[in-house]
Amino acid sequence: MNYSQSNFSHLYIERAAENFPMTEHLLSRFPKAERICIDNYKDVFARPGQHFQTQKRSIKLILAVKKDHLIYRGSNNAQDFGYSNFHYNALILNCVYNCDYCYLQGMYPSANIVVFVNTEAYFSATSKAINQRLDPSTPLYLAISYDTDLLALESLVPYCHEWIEYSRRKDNLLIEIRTKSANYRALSDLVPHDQVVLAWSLSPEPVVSRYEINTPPLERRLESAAQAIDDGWSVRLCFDPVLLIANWRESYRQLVERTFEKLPAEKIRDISIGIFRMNAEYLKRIKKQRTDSDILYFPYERNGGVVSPSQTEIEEMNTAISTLLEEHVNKEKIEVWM
Amino acid sequence: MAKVIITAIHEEARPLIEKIGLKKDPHAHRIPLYRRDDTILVVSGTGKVKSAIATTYALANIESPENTLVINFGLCGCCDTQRPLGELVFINKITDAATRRDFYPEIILKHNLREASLTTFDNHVLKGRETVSSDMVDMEASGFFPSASAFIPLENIYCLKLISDHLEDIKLDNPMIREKIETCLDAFMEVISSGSNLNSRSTPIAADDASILNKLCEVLKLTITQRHQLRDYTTGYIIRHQKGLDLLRPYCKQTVKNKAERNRLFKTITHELQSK
Repeated sequence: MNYSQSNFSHLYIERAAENFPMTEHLLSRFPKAERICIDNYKDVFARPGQHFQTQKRSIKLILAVKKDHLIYRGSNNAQDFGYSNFHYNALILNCVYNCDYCYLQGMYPSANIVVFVNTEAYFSATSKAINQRLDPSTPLYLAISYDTDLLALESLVPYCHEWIEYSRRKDNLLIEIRTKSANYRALSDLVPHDQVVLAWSLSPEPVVSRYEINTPPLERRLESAAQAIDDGWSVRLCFDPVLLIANWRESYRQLVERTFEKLPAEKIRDISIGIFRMNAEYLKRIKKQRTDSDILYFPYERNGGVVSPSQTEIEEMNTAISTLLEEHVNKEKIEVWM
Repeated sequence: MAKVIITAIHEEARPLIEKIGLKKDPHAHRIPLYRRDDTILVVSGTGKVKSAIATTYALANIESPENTLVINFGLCGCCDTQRPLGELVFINKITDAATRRDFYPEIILKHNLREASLTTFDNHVLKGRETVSSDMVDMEASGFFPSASAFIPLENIYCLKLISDHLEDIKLDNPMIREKIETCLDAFMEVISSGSNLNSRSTPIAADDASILNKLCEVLKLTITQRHQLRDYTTGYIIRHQKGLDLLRPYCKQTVKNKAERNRLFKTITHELQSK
């Protein structure tokens, strides 16, 4: 018997967020949810004593207005794919999925999902950033699904639609929408354009079933990506994070093989490889709360503030996976995160 | 799962004491405390300060907070005359009227009650005399909740209130209170029963393994930091290898003469636990 409430059983609504169209849309989507009025989303999202994995049993929705930091400059730890004007934003905090290795568990105090409803303010901030970008010879590269999975939530919060249409109207803007979802059909009514990159994170099926809780199986992600390519979208593949599981060589060999059985290699925009790494403080916080996943308790090495497999293991895995990929795509299309 | 119930007055507590078969703890003099098996009931007295004190008193020495439910139960006034008297409600927001501070109970538990917001006042509230922005009013919850959350995981803290009046100037006598409480006892017990099944946090370290760990910490005279590290490594070992800590048994028989020897042995143990 399930003793937990369903997801989105409660909507916490900032007073300042009450009259936005997205708030009205979400209220209409959950007419039976409890509505709780709040002054500031942090009163709920950042209250002390929360337990991330307990909250994952019944995720609540918090509707808020983002007042500052509407766009962030990308850090040195982020993959920028050669774009010097790399930025990201936070339209939504947290994710509907629950991957064991996810750094959000250590980064955020809560598993509840915050939806910032003031989209127009984000558009204004982005326009300003485009005009003020440091390198005018390249577009502003903006990752909009950075600390979340927007496409997974698209049926509920149609931000991919809004941003794809916004980018269509904007020069010098390239947006990346990264996802593990198989929800491409939510975008299939849109006309593709070249200022959008749809990026799918792919993992071997044993990793998906064991560590990527609630995510769609690999096959369905590949089907989604194949449909997007077929419709004319620019598609990126992200083998990230690569996990040092038992038989990782064989698992990732099968992953690469299956990927190119399903997808036309020549139509892939580019590919990224990233071996598992995490901010050491985040991992420490996660381990304080959960003791149910071996992937969190692997004897990683700490290098600076980051934990990861040893340098030797990283090099071995990067080389092995790059070699597998180079059988299908040009080396120049592969970006390895070192 | 242990249950701790905090009520303000004896009249609220009595039907529960009888229903559960609680007995007065003769050692509790200043704050009346009743217990039976894993259930405790404390009568705090009226007001948020008394509620905070009684909650702290009841919870400060709880052995297993993860396996404890704490419930503030009592009467409240309701601003909405459409809501029937005698209804038991699950509080989802508590506001302290004096400080305007808000508290948000973590509602993971599926229940059949209607939910409501509540404001805690320092005195009785009568219709028209105070501005009330919440659904309910009481005099304890904003003292109870922060005290309880200092000891117990948020999702194990419930505030359940019974609507006794619509803020009219009516003095309830004891039989009336008893009658109201008795009508909601089944609903109250159902929430507690469901809550007991929602055990959310667990540890992979079984009792046998825990005793090996404790023994090892003692014989090696490990520092606090080493104890934390050892717990981390053993947790990793158990969940990666899916087996217990039998490999540590031989170390429990060893003795160490000085810090250097201890540290050497500790390093050997952690190396073994981290083996891939």
